[in-house]
Amino acid sequence: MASLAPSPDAPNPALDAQAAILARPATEERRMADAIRALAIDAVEKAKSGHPGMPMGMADVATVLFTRFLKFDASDPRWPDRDRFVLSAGHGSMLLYALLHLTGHAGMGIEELQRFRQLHSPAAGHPEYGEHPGIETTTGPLGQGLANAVGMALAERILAARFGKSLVDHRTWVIAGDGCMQEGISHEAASLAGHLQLEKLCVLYDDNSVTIDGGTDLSFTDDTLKRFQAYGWAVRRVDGHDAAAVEAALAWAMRSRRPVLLACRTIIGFSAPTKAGTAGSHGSPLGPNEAAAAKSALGWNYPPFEVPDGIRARWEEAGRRGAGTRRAWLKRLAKHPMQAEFERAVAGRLPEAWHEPLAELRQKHAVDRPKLATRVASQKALEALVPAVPEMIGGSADLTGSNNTNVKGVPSIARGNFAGRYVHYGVREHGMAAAMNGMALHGGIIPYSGTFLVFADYMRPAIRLAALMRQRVIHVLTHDSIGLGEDGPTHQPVETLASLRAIPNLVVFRPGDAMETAECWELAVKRADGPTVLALSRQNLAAFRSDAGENRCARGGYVVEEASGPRRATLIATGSEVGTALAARAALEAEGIPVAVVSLPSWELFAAQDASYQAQVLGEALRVGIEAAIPFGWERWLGPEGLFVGMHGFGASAPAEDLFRHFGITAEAVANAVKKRLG
Amino acid sequence: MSVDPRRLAHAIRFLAMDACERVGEGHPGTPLGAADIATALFTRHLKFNPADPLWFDRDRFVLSAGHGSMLLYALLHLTGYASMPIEAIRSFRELGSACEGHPEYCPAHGIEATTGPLGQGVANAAGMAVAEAFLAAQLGPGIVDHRSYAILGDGCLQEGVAQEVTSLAGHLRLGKLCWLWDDNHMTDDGAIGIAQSEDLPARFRAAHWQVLEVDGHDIDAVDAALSLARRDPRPSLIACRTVIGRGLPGVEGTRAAHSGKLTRALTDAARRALDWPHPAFEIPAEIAAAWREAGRRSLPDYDAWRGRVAALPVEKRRLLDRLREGRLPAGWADGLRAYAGRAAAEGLTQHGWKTCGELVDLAAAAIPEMLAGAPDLEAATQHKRRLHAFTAKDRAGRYLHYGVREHAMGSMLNGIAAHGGVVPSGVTYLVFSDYERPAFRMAAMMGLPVLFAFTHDSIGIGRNGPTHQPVEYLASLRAIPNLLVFRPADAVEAAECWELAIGHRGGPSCLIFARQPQMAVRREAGENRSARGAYVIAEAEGGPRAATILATGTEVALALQARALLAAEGLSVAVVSMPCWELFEQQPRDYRAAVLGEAPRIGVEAAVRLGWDRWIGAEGPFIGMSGFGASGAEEDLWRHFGITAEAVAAAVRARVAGPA
Repeated sequence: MASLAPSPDAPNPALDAQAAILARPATEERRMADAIRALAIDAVEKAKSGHPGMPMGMADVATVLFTRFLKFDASDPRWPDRDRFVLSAGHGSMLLYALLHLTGHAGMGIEELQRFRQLHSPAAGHPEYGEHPGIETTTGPLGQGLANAVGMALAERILAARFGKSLVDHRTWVIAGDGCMQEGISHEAASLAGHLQLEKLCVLYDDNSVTIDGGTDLSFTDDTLKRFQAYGWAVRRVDGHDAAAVEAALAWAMRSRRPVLLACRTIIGFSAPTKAGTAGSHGSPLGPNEAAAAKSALGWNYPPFEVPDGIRARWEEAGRRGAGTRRAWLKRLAKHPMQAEFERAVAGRLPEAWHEPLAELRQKHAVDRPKLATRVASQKALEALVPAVPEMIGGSADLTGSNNTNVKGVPSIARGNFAGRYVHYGVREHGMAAAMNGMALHGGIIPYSGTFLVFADYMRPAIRLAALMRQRVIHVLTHDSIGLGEDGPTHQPVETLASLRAIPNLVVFRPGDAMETAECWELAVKRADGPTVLALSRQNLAAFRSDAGENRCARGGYVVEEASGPRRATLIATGSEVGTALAARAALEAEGIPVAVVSLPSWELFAAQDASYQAQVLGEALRVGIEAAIPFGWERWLGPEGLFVGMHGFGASAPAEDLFRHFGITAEAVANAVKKRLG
Repeated sequence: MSVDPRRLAHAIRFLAMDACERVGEGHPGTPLGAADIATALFTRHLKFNPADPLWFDRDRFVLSAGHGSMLLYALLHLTGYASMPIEAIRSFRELGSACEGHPEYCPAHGIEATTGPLGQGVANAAGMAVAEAFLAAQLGPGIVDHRSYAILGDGCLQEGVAQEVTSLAGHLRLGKLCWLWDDNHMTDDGAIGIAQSEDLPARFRAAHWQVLEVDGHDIDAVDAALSLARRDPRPSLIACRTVIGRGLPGVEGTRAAHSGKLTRALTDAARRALDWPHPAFEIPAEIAAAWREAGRRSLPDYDAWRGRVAALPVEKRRLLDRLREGRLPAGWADGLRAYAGRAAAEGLTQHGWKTCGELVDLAAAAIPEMLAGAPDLEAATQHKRRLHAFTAKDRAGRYLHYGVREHAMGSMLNGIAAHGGVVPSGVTYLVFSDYERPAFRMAAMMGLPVLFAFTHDSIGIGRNGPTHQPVEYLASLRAIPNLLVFRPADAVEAAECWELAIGHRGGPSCLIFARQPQMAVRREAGENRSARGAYVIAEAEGGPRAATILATGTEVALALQARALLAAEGLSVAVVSMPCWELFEQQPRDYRAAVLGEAPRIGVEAAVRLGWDRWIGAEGPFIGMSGFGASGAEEDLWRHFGITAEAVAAAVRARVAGPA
């Protein structure tokens, strides 16, 4: 890949600053930081790819953090009351791997560092959640880590309010770069953190004035400190290569009553003799000569991947620093009246009888057959679930009244009051979804939240990461089609279902009535290894289910109404169109054409069923897909000869009934299409 | 003006109220709250001519808070846009009405951008300001000298895209950009304090904006602030403190005013409170006349401008006409065609990003109005080349450093295209297209000719790992209506696809390239074969087709290798390259049938299967990804995920051997 080598003629003021820093006596802390630098240089050189600049620049800051402030115990990286450390600038992954290695974490030995960026190495190109227990979140797409951290800090406050300070009292630390700060998600996340006064959140901003394109003055001249101050953060600037100054600043951060932004002035690629302070050190190996010269500038005269015993010992000591604190915590936990509940919540196990109220609701739906919008049916499900599952924390991106995500009597979370269970995220879909990822990653919380389905696009980068990290995050996405009516095409999803179904490991539900909605909610809450989307209607939908025994949505698709004779067609529909299919079936049966109706609330779950079940449900007869969305992907179920009734472009602004007629998504249209095909 | 300006604002209010009441739906809060702001802007500042809505040098006005659409419709009606008669207002939110729930792009009717998804409109306005500055540098201030305004609400400012744009607009000193913030302290969930407590003016000052704070119901104060905005070289934020739903007794200032149902009793009460005894949808003559007068306010400017245009040297006049009509210069595609010819002759195999960069360079050389850019990936994408930067000091620059702000880039590209006269393109990694996705949807809906280019399109990027490896992106982009998605196989197809994309003036295109080398697969150029979306790149030889392999992008080379392996075994296989599904779908049935053939079909694409069943059938074998990628050397990843010529050949063999 191309790199921007510094022009030999261009003056590089960073080099003078670097020389002055290198002229200072090398303290033990500097030597420890140099170990990070050397490992980052060596690993990137060996892999012949990677980003050495950030680890080299932030090594001093990270050393102070890990040796003096971060609460952790390398022998138990999943200790629930550990501080969380998020490397939001994920391209600097070698910083994290070097820290995990040096502090003595199992599973991040020198062999792993030597296999940096190789297939199956836990030291992947960017930090991947699940590759090593010390990696708190997957980062790389900029700004996500920072927003995850806001969610983690919020989770800490919520769990502290629930279980008390003796069990939950930790901080969230972030290293973020200029890229994170430029991404809009940082605005949403930081504004929310300031609003909620998440005082145990501290962002260490690698303020190195360099981006991939070159100096930040090319595109980024905001005063970031003033900006964060405007959000209600405490801000300070510090020399990121002065360990004592960093230590003082971190001590100050610990005392803050507001979230903290510490802008650490650093030199990217610190110690590289020509590339330091330039974009040339950002995203490619230094090259053997520059690498050797960088190490010798540090006085680091050891072979690649070798760390002298004295320095290693100091680092491992830092890795054990929190051991006593952890043991004391374990003792407190053992005596704590809520021990079992705490352990259950943190392990992600649901309460014993969590589904009972929901089962009752399903019984009631079977009898009452209520005609409800599925967003309202969702609210009913939440009324059963939220009291039964105390770790469920709800919210909405400023559409509470429309998403029906709130439950009566459940208080909101506000600054200074984290005993509530509902978050008003503001019009910040992206920040919301990424914060939910952070809450789920933190553990002890099952976040669910709402917005309109069409705004899934705004959250999409975070939904993708939830899927990649296999996190239990539930998105309630209402107003799922032209059925929302007058608000028009900007608000009417047509391609959104397809685009969500494309994301691996995301389960998308589109229930068709109140019963299915309750069933889908049950499946979403139970799904511990990945995110779920519930696509729900704005408009009322007639009930079609009066059986409450088996959770029929669990198989993803099933026959709602069998044909009265040998099937001549199978109408396959989701959500609001199941009702359309049933009406079409009635019309066709009245004319003596036996037709079955299949509800397909989740393609992903249906695809996971065995072939014989799928074949039995889909049948051999003509298949007709009905969904108020584009046909993209439907060929999978309909086969080459299938018919599709749905949308073929964007919607329009008008009352819902007019639109369904206008776009030809009616029982009549379906029946006619079937008759025409059958001849 | 003899009519009390507050009465002018009331005319907006009652049109909005009457329309919402009639339909029993809509968002009265913004039109009522921001009526005074809009009155100050439209009667005293905005340069426009309802008789010629497409006047090239008009000021651009974007209602970023699109839910308040009746504000815009009322303004267009009152100032005399022929396309906005009172009947349109009466049919607000009905099928076929010009007054849709949210404003839908139609510059000929005075609607400069589709708005509704929050934050998009302000970004569009910033893009328009960029286009204006860029064109002023090309055509001179006598021809291009106008301002871009947006009215926005708290929601727009909470969205991340707005902060990205705020930061960039301040950096670029877009002094002709002015945002009027309807600061009503109210959101859908309730008072703003429920979710926000920031010092917003301070944030804008930190981004180098001029911030003016006024009473948004004091028309003279708003007027004065607008005058100050015009005199300042920085972009301006006018924070207009307002009461949401102003004029609705008992409802104004509350959450219910945002989109609550309006009853007759309520509008009657408002009529009494504001001393407006006129029937619904009726505007008293003197007020209507004053508004019409406001609509004629810019006529002297208009006439003077026309005079200056008439006096232009003929070459410049031709250029202006060409730009405002959105026509490309004669011979614009010659360079691309020559490139295709050279690439075919040489068998050019090179990195996808490099080819894309070379083509943008050629296109930019031929199309002086092309404005390229990237969100901080100049080094990785190499799209700047001969272009120099568009900056605060140099408005003639043709490469915009967007910073790490993909969403702002996408939405600003839309604004640049909506402005007209500029051909905007932006490039980033395909995986970050998710950050800009809301902008693609808007471009597709508006039918804007925006060129979204992407590199690093698959696991072929290698070691950066799954966060940077797209797998679901091709499907998710293909799902967007009215968007052309191109994934060319090699340099020849790349040149063909770029020509098609640039020539496609009715909607946006995505052009997708690999990081790794794209092997030459086409050794002939001339006819633009990509124009049909898919074509037989290698017919079966030595017998009828035993199978057809369909592939896109870098996987076309793989398919050809598999074909060679199979040929050695005596199996005759055709390979179809499918650079653009959307164009292929538009071909006649016979052509499609001939290309796809009757033999079993196998799909190959380093991405998820979704959508492929259309071409290969639900039973057809697919060689691609079934989940996320991994971090490792590129060669290792292809092997690990089984996307190799051998795997394709094996799938063909198995399929041909027996029914799936």
